[in-house]
Amino acid sequence: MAPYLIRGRDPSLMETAKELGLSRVRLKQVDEIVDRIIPPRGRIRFAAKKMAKKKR
Amino acid sequence: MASRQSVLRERRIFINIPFDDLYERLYIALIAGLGGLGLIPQSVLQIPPSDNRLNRIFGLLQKCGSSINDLSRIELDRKAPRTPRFNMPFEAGLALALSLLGKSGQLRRRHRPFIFEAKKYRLLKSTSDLNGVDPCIHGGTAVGMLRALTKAFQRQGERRTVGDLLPVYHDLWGFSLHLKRANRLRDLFDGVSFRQLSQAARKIAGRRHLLRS
Repeated sequence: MAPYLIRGRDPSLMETAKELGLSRVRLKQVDEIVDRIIPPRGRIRFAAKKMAKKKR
Repeated sequence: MASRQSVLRERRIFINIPFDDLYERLYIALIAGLGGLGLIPQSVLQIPPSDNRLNRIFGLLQKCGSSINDLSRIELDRKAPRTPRFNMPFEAGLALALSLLGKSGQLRRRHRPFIFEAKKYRLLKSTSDLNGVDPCIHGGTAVGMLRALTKAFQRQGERRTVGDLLPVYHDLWGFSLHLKRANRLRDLFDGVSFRQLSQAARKIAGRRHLLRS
């Protein structure tokens, strides 16, 4: 799952996902495709980079 | 002050639309538009086929503050024996019944049904009982659909123009192509894809700074 979701930066987005009953795997796929279409900026991008480094 | 549940109910919009290839662009535009307005689409696609399907559809409809009933494609289908598509007017009837019960005070919660059509005055010909109901005309185009949505939901959700929602539609269209390729799908009229499209629309709208988080 995208880091900004884990850290709860956008609770309304999580609420929508919960409301729709979307599984974590499908949610992750949405995050990945959206990130490819509109790359995250600023702090979000920084958090994503940091997360990617940690994974490595 | 309105409770969290009633706020959530107002944000839920039941979409009663045809599921076919020719409607795909309008389907994407509808989800993109609702996402851009901060609303949450709900559909029969989320309900698995079972014996109590009608009960579950009615239950879902009751959970929603409004519904969009697109009656633009109630024509004969291609498969033999050719039959008109009755699901949409049938579900529109359920939504209108809910609305009338709410207005008469028999139900505590109100429901607002919106009728969408492609052509002006056709509704009067096809369903004269709806005389007096003002349909939202989308003209069968994605931009028309966004225009109809901004007109219908000008009081609910965020106030947006077609110009605000159009980039969300373009991005969601790109998303749909990626999703089809990744999941090897022929179309996106299934429960999982519907949920993913709805979530993506919300997320894209957020990235485009259309929504307050």
